[in-house]
Amino acid sequence: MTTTPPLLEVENLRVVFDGVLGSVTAVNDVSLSVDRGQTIAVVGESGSGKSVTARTIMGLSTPPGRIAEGSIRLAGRELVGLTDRQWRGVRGSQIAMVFQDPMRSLNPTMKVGTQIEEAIRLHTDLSKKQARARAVELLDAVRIAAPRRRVDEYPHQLSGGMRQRVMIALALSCGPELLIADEPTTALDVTTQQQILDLMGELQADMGMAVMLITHDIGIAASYTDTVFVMYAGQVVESAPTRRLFTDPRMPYTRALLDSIPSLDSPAHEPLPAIEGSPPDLAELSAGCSFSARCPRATQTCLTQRPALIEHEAGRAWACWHPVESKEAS
Amino acid sequence: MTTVPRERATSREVILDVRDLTQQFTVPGKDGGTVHAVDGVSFRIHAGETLGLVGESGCGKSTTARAILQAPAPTSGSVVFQGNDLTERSGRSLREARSQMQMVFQDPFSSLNPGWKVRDIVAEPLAVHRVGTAKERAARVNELLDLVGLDPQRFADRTPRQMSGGQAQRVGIARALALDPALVICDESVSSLDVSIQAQILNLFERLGRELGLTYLFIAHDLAVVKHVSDRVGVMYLGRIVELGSSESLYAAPAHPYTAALLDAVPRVDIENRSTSAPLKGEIPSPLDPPSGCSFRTRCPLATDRCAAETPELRDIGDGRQVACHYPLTAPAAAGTEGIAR
Repeated sequence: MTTTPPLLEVENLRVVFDGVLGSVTAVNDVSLSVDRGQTIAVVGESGSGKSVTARTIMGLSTPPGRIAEGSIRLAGRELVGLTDRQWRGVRGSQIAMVFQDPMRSLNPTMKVGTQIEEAIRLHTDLSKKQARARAVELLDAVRIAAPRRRVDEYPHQLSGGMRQRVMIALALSCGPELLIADEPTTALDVTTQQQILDLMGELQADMGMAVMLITHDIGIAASYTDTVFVMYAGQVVESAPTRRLFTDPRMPYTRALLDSIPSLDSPAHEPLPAIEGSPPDLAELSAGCSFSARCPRATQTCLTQRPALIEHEAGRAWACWHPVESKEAS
Repeated sequence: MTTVPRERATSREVILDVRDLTQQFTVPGKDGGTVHAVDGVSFRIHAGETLGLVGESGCGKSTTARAILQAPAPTSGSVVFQGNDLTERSGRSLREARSQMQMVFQDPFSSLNPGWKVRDIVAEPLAVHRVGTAKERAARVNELLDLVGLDPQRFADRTPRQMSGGQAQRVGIARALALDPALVICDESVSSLDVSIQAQILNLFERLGRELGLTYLFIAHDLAVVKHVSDRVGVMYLGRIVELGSSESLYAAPAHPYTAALLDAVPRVDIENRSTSAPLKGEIPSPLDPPSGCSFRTRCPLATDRCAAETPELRDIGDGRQVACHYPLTAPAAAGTEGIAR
C-alpha cells in the first residue's frame, strides 16, 4: 500500500503473565502497524488484550507480564530489549500515552502547569521559564480557557473533561510521533467525549502524529479512525479500513459484536442478537479458534486448529476458517 | 409466588406517580451551599411500561431513583406507588409498601455481598420479609435462578467473585425479583458489562418484562440502550426533566435543544447517519450555582434574554410530548417530516 515503511510495526507479539497457578497469554501473536499520521483503533471487550498491547508498545509491561516473543519497531528501531534508560528516551518524546482516568494519571498534589513543565524539561533543554511559557501554549492548544490562570490550578479544581485536556497537553508536550490513547473518553459524558475526540483529531492533523485509539466503543472506532483492529481473547481476529470493517465484516465475531449493539435508529423492544456465553478463560485456551465455542459457524476444524490472521484482500485480514460471506461479493 | 407468564400490555393504570420531587443536599464550607440535585421532577409510570431516564453524570437521574425508594427520603414532593404515598410512611409500613419496588444496581460485585453464596443472596429478601418456610424459600431460589438463566446446580453455591460480570448481574436481577415486584428500577444496570454480555442482559430484562408483567424505570447514560428498552423516555439536565415523550418520536425529532445535542454527540457505527452539526460547547454548570432561568441556556445555541429571565416549565406540546423550553425545535406532529428547525 504505502511505499514508506510504517511508523509502528508490531510483529507476532506475545505477552505472558506468569502466575503461581500457571501462565496466562494476554496477547497472543499480535501483529499490527500504524502509518505516519494515521489513526487506528484497537477494539475489543474486557480481557481481549487491547490495553496490554498498548502498554507493551509503550514499554510499560512490568512483571509478572513479559514479552515472550515478537518485535515492536518504531520508525525502524527495535524497541523490544531496550534498557529502562533507553525506554525513557522513547517514552514521552516519541510515543506518548493518554489513559482512561485523568484523576489517577495526574499528580493530585502538583499544579497542572508544573506537571507539564516537568515533562518538557525532562526531554528538552528548555529553561524553567521557557517550559512554563510552553505549558501555557499547550493548555491553550487543548482549548482550555484562561490557560495562564489554569496552569496554577490543581487537578481537583478542574472538571473531568478539562483534566483529560491537561493529560493530552502533557502527552503532546514533547511532540510525539505516536499517541496511544487508552479509552481516553470512557470516564467522560457523551457531550464531553465528543469535544475531546474532536480535539484529538484536530491536534493530530496539526501535528501530523499517528494515533492508536484503544476503545471498547464501536461507535468511536467507526467515527474517528482510518483502520480498525478487532481483538478477541488476546488475538487480532480482523483488521480492515474502518468503513469496510463496519459495512462488511468478515470474521463472525466482528459481525456478532456489531449486531449485538443497540442502535439509536432501531425500533425499541426488538430482541438483540446477543452472543451467547462469555469470552474464554485466557489460562485455559484450547488449540482451536478462541471464538469457536460461541460461534454459530464453527466446525470440527475450528475446535482443533487455530486460524492465523491472513491478509485475504489488500488491507483486509481476518483469522477465520469460515468467514461470513462478503456483502460486496458480485 | 408463582410466575405465571402474562402478556405485557401497558395499561392506563398509573403504578408510580412522582410529583414535584425535590432532593437537596447541603455542602458545608466556604465554597458550599445547597445542591438542588433533583429540582421539581414529576412523571407517571403506567403498569407494564418502561420509562427510561437519560442524562449525563450529575443530572440527578440516580438521585431521583433513590428518592423514589426513600433512600434517602426526598426533601419535598410526593411519590405515590400503588396508591400509597411513600413519603408519608416510615419504618415497617414503608418497607411493606416498598417491597413491590426493587432495584438492580450498576456493579453486581459491589452490590452483592462477596462473602455470601448465591442462594443466600437471592433468599435474603424472602427471609427479611418472612416469606414461606426455609424449604419453600429454597425452592423459590431455584425457580428464580432458572428464571434469570442460571443453572441452580452450577451456580447456587458459588460466591459472586466466582462468576463473570454478566452472571453476577443475573444474580442481582434474581434477588430483585424474589418478592415478585411490580416495579423494577434499573440504575445503569448494564453499564459495566461488555457489549456482548450487555445484549444478553437487555434481552433478559425484556423477556422478564413480558413474562412477569413488570414495569420498569430504566436509568442509563447510554442513549441507544435506553431507547432499546423504553416505551417513553425522559431527558434530565441539572436536576430537571427537560423533555419527556415516546421513545420513537423523541429520538426521531427531539424538541429540546439539549436532547438534540445529546443525540448528536453519540458516535455512530453507521457512517451515513453521522451528525454534522456543531458539538455542544462548554460543560455542565455546577449544581451549586446553576444559571438563572433555563439551566441549559449557557450552552444552548438558541438561548435569548428570555431564557435567562424565565424558567421554562415542562409543558405539553401534543402527542404525549412534554418539553421545558421556550423555543422547542419541533412539534411532535411534525415528527419524521420536514421543517425541523435545526
